[in-house]
Amino acid sequence: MVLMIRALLWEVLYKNRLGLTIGLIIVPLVWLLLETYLEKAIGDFLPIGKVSFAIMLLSVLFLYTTFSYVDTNSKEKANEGFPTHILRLPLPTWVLSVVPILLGTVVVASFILMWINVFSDFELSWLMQFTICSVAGAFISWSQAINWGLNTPMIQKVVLLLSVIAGLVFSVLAIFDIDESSSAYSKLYGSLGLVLLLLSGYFFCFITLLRTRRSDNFQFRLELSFLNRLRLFPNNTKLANFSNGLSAQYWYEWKSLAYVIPLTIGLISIVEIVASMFGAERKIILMGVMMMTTVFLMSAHFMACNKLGSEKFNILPHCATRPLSDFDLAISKLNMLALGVVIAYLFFISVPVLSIYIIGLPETTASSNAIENISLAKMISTLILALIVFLAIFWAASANGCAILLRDSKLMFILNITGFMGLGVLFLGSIIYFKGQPGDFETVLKASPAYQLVSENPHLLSLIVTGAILLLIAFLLPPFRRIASLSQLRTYGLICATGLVISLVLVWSLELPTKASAFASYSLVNLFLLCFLPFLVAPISVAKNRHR
Amino acid sequence: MQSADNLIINIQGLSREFDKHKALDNIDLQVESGQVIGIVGENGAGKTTLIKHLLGLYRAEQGSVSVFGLDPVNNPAEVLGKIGYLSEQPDLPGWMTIAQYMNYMSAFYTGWDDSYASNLIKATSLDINKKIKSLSKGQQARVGLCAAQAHKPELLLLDEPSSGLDPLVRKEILSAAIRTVVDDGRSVVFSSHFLDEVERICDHLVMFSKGKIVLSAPMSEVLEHHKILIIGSDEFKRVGNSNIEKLPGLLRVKEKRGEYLVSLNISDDLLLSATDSLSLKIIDKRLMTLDEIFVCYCPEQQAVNGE
Repeated sequence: MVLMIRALLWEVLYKNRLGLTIGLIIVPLVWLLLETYLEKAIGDFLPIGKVSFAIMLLSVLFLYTTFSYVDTNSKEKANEGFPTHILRLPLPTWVLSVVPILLGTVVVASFILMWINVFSDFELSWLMQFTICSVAGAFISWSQAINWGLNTPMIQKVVLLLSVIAGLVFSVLAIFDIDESSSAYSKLYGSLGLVLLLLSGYFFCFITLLRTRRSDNFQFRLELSFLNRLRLFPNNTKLANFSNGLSAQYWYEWKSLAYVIPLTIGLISIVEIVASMFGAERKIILMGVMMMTTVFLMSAHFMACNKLGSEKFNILPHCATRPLSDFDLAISKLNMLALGVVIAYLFFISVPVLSIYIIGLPETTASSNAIENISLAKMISTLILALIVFLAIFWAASANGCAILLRDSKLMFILNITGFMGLGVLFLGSIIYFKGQPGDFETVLKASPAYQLVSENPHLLSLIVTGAILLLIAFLLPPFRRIASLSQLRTYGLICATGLVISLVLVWSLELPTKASAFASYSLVNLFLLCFLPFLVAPISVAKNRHR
Repeated sequence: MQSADNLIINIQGLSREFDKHKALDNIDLQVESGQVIGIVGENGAGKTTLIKHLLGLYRAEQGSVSVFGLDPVNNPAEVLGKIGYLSEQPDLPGWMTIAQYMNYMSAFYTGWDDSYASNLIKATSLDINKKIKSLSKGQQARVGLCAAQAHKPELLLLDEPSSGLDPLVRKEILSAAIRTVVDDGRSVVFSSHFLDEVERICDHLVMFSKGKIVLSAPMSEVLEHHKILIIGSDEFKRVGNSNIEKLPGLLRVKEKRGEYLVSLNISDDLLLSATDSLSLKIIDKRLMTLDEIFVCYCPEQQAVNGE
């Protein structure tokens, strides 16, 4: 028995050795960087502790994903959920269920404890540290139970997971006695709740695995017949009317996974609106927007590549054998991504608007004065410009990520992850920086080192970026022309060019100082070139992936 | 098979390596329309690799691949539009219903025949509103086969489709499907481990071993030319091993219970003249089964059989 458990532990660790190594070295590496170099360079204006905390959270998330012992969305395998080859091992079911979860919990908890006690300046009591580790354990066990097939419909999975998260939050609040009401009972109830959640997570993992092993028909499934009567969900018997293969492929891409992007953003938006209704502060709205942006940027392009939770983005025979050109296959991916981006973006911009409608505008004298000094036309121009630019940024980040992931190579995967991690850190760093500065936004912006660096050499910097993108396009043109003709890019080029022209007109209508106007114009050119780039890269990636 | 301009598949000098292992080694293959080509070989012999080259999923590292006169890598839409394909593990989207899947597939092919597709699905007795993921492996294979046929492809590529089907379905449905395709003057390339099935269905046999084509001939010729001669021990010693090894088309010699079994790939006329020249007295002569032929050509199979 001990030998078999050791073999099972080895299997889990060996399978995840790369993720484990990366996850465990990120924090010490960042800590070393902060200690030796970054604190001196940026410590004056960037709260290092918060950056370190953000990186720790990302590492924990990474480790959690690495140890998620599940065959997720695996199209090569008939089964999804617990790896079937493990089920055949001559070990009791409770061992099979406990070993992977316990190992994942131990790794994540050790990592958190290491960060708290070695690398951070936090001084937490042992009770607090133990509670944090228990929360991690309970979350891991419940999410594993759901992943292993505790309940099948997606909506039930989401509801169950949200309920568990809510239960964990209430337990932690009670243990730490946040509202300082009744300490003894509060701690007791909180601890009981946490223990109950932890044990029930393990129990349901065991039950789920037992059911899978015995092929039981027993389902934890709610009969949502009243929803069916309301016809809230699409009827499977109604068939779509396709004009050609490409339209069928668009439908396929959308139905496969694309709807998950707006669904994710939509769910977060609901939480956000509810928080606003219960009198949450502006901080919560900002946090919500940040969360949405991060989730969106991290997930959208993974979804588009149609294979979540794996470093492999291989175009499987089902798609690869469709009688479509490489260009059409790539465009169907980008089209699906574009739909997801636009719908998610609508959610994204509607949430702050709804939140403000519900809780009202914050009273800030500086902002009000600034608003009074700007004409209505300029305000509208700024608003439209901001909407276009943010949409373009979302598209450029997601579509370029998707385009390089479609190549399905380890190098491109690492490049993608590094790029998005960099974007995430930059985004969080910027928010933390601007939030920590006194004065209004303009003063803060002008005082920022990035602004100063750019304002000294705006033309040179922008032109270097433009040159680099144009060089890349020139480099990509010959391989692209072997796949498709340049005329096929006309529509997409026109859309990008139209976006650029409208944005430039809007910038010029703002009558900014010459230097600022020129810098903004160059930046817009770069942004829209980046928006166009995926249409060149994606077909090349698809061709490389499809014809190996 | 190697004449005429009517070639739908033309492979010349095709080689492919995976991690320094030669999956295909200098393959030449020409297929005319109206043929059923059976590809057999041990596991890892290169059958699937060859089919993936035909689909354009692999780029030819050496040599050339032409399907309908086009390179499938450079013209995927044109080539795949004329091909019906079913793999060993049909990679069908589980979230679709059968009806949705057939409707989705119909959009890709100009030759899609709705009534024919409907008849094919009816023959499976499956509920078209069932989700594909709820079907068994065999049922999924049948749905995949219907979709591969419904646009009446000029070339049907079947990569070990039988592995998911039960013997009854294998015998009736698969062979009927293949014959229907061929009767319309279209072609089938079909890889399988079931040699009896290959023998029953195919016009032409291509046998792979370690990435090479070790035998490529019309099925009737393969079955007629492969023979086992049974020679007594004394006669064998009299003629001598060195002379036996000089027999044309010799595949192998095996001793069994004091007799020698000599396997040959040779026509009757040639055999007669060869035995006459050696004055070789044969105890018995019989035709080889496809199983025996397969074992002769694939050294790994001989090891498996303890020979």
